[in-house]
Amino acid sequence: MLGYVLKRILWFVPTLFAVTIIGFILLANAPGDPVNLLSNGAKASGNIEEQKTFWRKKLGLDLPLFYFSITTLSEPDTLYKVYDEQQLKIIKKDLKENGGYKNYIPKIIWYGYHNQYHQWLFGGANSKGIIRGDFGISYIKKEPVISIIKDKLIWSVFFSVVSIILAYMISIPIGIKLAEKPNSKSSKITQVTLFLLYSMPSFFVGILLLMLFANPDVISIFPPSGIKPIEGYADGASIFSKFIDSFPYMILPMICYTYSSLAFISKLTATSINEQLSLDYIKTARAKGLSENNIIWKHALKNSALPLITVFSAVFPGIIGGSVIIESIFTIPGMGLETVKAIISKDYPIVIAVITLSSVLTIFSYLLADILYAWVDPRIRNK
Amino acid sequence: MNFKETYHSYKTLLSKNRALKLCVRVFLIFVCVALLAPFLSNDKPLICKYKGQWLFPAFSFKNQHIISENDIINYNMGNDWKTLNTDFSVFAPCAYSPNTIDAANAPRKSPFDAQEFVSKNNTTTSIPYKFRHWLGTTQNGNDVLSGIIHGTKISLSVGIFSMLIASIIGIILGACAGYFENNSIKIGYVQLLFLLIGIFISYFYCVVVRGSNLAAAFTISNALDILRVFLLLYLSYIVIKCLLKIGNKIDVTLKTDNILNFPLDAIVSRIIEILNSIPSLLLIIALSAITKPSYTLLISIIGFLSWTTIARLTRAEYLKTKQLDYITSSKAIGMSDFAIMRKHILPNVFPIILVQIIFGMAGAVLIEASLSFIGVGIPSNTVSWGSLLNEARDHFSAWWLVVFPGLCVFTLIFIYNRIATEIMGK
Amino acid sequence: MKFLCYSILILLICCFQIGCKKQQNNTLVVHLLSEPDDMHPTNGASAIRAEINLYTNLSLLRVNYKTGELLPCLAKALPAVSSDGLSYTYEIQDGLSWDDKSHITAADIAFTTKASKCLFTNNPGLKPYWENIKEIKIDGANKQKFTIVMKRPYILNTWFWTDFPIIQEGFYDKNKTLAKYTEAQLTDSTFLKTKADIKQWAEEFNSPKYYTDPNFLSGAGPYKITKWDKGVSITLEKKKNHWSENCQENWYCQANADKIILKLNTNNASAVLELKNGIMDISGMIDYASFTELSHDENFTKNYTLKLADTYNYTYVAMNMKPDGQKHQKLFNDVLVRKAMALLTPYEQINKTLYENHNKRVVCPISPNKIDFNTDLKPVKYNVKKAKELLTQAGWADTDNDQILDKLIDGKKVKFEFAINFISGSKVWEDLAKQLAESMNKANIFAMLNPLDYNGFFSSVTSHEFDMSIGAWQSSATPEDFSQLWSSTAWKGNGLNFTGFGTPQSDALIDSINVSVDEQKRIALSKRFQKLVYDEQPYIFLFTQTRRIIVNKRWDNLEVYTEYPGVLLNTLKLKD
Repeated sequence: MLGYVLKRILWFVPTLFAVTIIGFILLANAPGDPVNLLSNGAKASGNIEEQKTFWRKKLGLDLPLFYFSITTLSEPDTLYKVYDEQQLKIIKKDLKENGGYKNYIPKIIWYGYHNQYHQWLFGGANSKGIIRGDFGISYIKKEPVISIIKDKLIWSVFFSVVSIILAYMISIPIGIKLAEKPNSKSSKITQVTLFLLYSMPSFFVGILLLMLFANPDVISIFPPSGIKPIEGYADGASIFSKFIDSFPYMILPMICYTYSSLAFISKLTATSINEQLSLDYIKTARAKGLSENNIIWKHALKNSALPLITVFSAVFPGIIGGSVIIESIFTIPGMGLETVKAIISKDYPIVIAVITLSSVLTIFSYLLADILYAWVDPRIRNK
Repeated sequence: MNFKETYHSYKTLLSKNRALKLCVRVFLIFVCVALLAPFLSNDKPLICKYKGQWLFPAFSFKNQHIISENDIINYNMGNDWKTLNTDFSVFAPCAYSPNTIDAANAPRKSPFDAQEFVSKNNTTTSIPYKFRHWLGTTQNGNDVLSGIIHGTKISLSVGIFSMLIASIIGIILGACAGYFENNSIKIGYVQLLFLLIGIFISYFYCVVVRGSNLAAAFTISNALDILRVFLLLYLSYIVIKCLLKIGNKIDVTLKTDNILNFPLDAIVSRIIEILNSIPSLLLIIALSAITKPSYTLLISIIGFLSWTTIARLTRAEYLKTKQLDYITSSKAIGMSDFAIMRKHILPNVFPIILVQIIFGMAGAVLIEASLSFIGVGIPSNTVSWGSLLNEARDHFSAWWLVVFPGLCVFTLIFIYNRIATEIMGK
Repeated sequence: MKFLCYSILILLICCFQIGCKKQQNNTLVVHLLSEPDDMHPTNGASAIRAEINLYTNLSLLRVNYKTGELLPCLAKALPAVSSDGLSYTYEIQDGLSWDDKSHITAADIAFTTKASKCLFTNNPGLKPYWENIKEIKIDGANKQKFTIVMKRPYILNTWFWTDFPIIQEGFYDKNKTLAKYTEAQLTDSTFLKTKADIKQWAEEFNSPKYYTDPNFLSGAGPYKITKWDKGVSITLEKKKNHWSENCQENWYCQANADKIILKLNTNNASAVLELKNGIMDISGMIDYASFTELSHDENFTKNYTLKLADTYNYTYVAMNMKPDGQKHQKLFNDVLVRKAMALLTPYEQINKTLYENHNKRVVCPISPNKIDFNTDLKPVKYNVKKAKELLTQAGWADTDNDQILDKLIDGKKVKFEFAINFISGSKVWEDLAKQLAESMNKANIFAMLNPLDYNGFFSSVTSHEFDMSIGAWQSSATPEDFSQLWSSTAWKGNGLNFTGFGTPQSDALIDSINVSVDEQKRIALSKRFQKLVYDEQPYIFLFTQTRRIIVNKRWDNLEVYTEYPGVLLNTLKLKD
């Protein structure tokens, strides 16, 4: 088992690298020079060049982009040291016009590990690198990105994990009911309802829920925004009392997170249990006189767990992505809301950090699914 | 089975299955609304008689009509058409374009509110039925019904075109991965070397040397630049193909051909795994934040990111089908691999892939609506279902801005899902 | 199953009780639309900080909200000015103390000045405001008395103290490092290079904890920030045993609510729900439409008072008067075109659709609520016909029949097409831009919408790379210094003069306004300047904004003011 897990973890390392490269490409291609943004305030005091060099060094932008670069023979090796966009444009134009045949001969320059990507990933003189949780500096707030999203990450992870658990807790019993009496009226109604819910866009449901259940003009049961009482938690409150305090705030968002995956999981439970029920061992169990409940919950469900685990890895990325919508409707101070804010103010490091982090979370959820898979079905780990 | 038979089987399915029939009908209504949008909802009259001349402003490609030397009628006059002194005029059923500002009924008139109309002599009266805002208005006095009608076009085209891109990529990659697996394509050392050189050369001349064309094709999107990009792609394809041929010749003479297995399946599976591990909505949001908002770009982004499910399914189906007897026998009679993939396997597995494509369309519609709901990556002057919902975000009392566009998004997604489920369950 | 149903029911009832818990205790919950980035008293940059500083900090002088005049705060009285108008002598009130009970002395004023002026401290945007102070002389005999020597006479030499909180030397500079040096030395970069102790102090002073950590935020005001839950709320608590307990006559030392919670809610709709639910006590940030709606809601007006208050702020549409002619065409160089643009703006329609007819028109670069407003200037009225005439007069005509005006400029045919820049994320700006674009379309002018993020917008206007852009200026009762927005140096130096307005004549007028300490003379000059801008029409002047203030009726003593922030939270009293 341990060997299998290790092998899976090793297998995920290249994927993680690829994800970081995608994140880095996005960051590097974001329009605008962050140095200009960061040294904006220095305009009035006059030491703008000093500020610019400071930030450029701090962000590592004075380094080449990647380990190597493919350019034309006419381009000098140290072109990356020209920072000014206008100047760079002029130089490039000049090269294009006067390069002649050299413009059509490829050249590979090797920079070694003193490059932006390496520094971004593993850290360098001024940063610790994303593998140690340093995602750089926010262009707008000028604070380390990780200190901005650290607390927010917790809420997003909390909501996605709890909503997945909830979705399973609700839809497995429903799925079993559906499998037991596939043709009864109640199960047909359930199926249709679940299908309707499945097609509902979450922003629509979210707004409707707020309009209906947090509105004194209709029914006002739930608080309309935020995630904790206005005064905050009492000092030194235990996790349980915090949970009780936050409970009413969680219900509407939780419904939004959960409802759409119900149809999927319950349908799958129903079909895989149906498959199991037609197998011989169930018949033997029935012949032995075991109760129907016992048969389904103890035997059939255990053996139909495999597809349910697969669903886990399909649902998780959707929920993480969906947090962008749901958090901005219910103003939950989580990662999704922060992403929307960052995108509006073009604060790219935060956006990239969120993407990279949620990808890592997703990869870990796959890993978890794989391990669970192997744990449930020994055949896989021996393969 | 070939495509003709598949088509017939769908036809019989459609005649038998009542739910499917209904869904397809609703879908066709959506398509009709999208196609006829300019005639269903337009602030210009369809026909009018002005100063003795018959005009067809809604059908005209021009912006103006010269009545006489000094009298030019400007078609872009927005709401003023309604008070123009015409002898006779017929308006579209919804007499507004999505961006027409009706100041008399702003901000936010509900469908049941008393709506006002400023008539020719500047007196305010109750609105005549043909100009009524049946589904209410937005902050700026834009008609919601008109927004919904024109939004249909956007939602449908985002779903269909993005899935077109996705299915082309997905089916080709998935089919190759499933059919050839890791050990069917043999390659020699020299050939492999030449392949890498070919890729390098095409990368260099397409991206490094001609980078400006590529950038222009995506940002400005004019036909010439897009054509150039396709030309470049075609040229690099030819270069790689030639190099592979030459490599093969050398390999044959050196007797090093067919030594290596080309791990096509492993490569494709890896790419799928990587793309799948990034939450797609977040990636699309980030990409559209970096680029300038435009629908062509959004469609291509969705297309280039959502082919993975289609590819995975296609791969699995090809893996299964290629072991069947009739495939091995057609191989034995000397049919080429690609012919078998296209003529024998594809028609058989297509129904299963189609289901996935339709589900994908629902997903694309949802993504577009979500993006315009949070107001990211969508051009700000186009009205879509999501952008109408976005208007309601700050004003819950404007229920008509939530309910109608929301129901439209829901209905479209629902019928896509239903059609896919019915086809799958047959 | 039954058990499940019952437990869900019980949970729902619990929720009902918590969710609808109305505020009852002596805690004021205030709606905050955006969170301050930081709360550093002198280095901070975000605007919302100023409102919180009103309650947590004290300044040398403050504004008398009722009259719009200066009000001595830390100072005993308004300063004695020397005959040359350069020396201001103040004396600090007796019995004022910091949180650690040490007295507020002239040393603290000197420290605040030095800390703000020192080149090492990280307040680049604010340094120009302190530039005019030459030195602060502390009276040898009386620690409470000091003289501020200015470099040149300026109308804001006293007023500018109202904006800056005084900070405690004993808290921020325990070793009294800065006291050793003079103001001149601290602004001399060659001198500073040799001084390691100043550098060390500045590093500490600039460190992040002084920006956001409530334990390191100190001020002399009656309230203290006790908790800052990022992205959720900021809590201010009334200081215990504070000297201000006995002082009630001046607004700045009142503290009636025990706690003020500033709750962040960026969404208008859910803020309205929070008001309706009675969770929130006061808001000045609800949008115009919701305000009107709430004022017609009888259930709501039973519990809440709704009041409108004027402001000194105004919205405008700036036009680029001096574009480069390459990236941006010379569309608005001609004053006739600019006047035509002003005529093409549908003011009444905008006021009705976006502002519920609550806003007053502005005519010239100051709000009509100011005392020096030139009432002779009449607002421009919407008039398409006249606008078209002006455009024809300026040489614009549709020669190629493509429905877009064109004109030969510098031998090149230029179409009347341009982009309207505005800050994205705000629906009102977007709707305003749409209305402008549609209205201009009627005169055969094609305007595109160009939403930009804040930084992109700001750099586009300051570097003069725009055609037309929508914006708003915030102002206060302070006498207006026109040099920031209207002098030609501010245009050349990529400052806040976006349009390129400015002639030697106008610059001279601005300079003479800035040194006119005599109020009547200043007002006369200011009126002349307003006329000058009005004739040039570099902006389309739109509206003054109106504050929509909603306060729960359990709070008494409500007064609204034109001056920012409209309501003084510390003066609100809980009803018995």
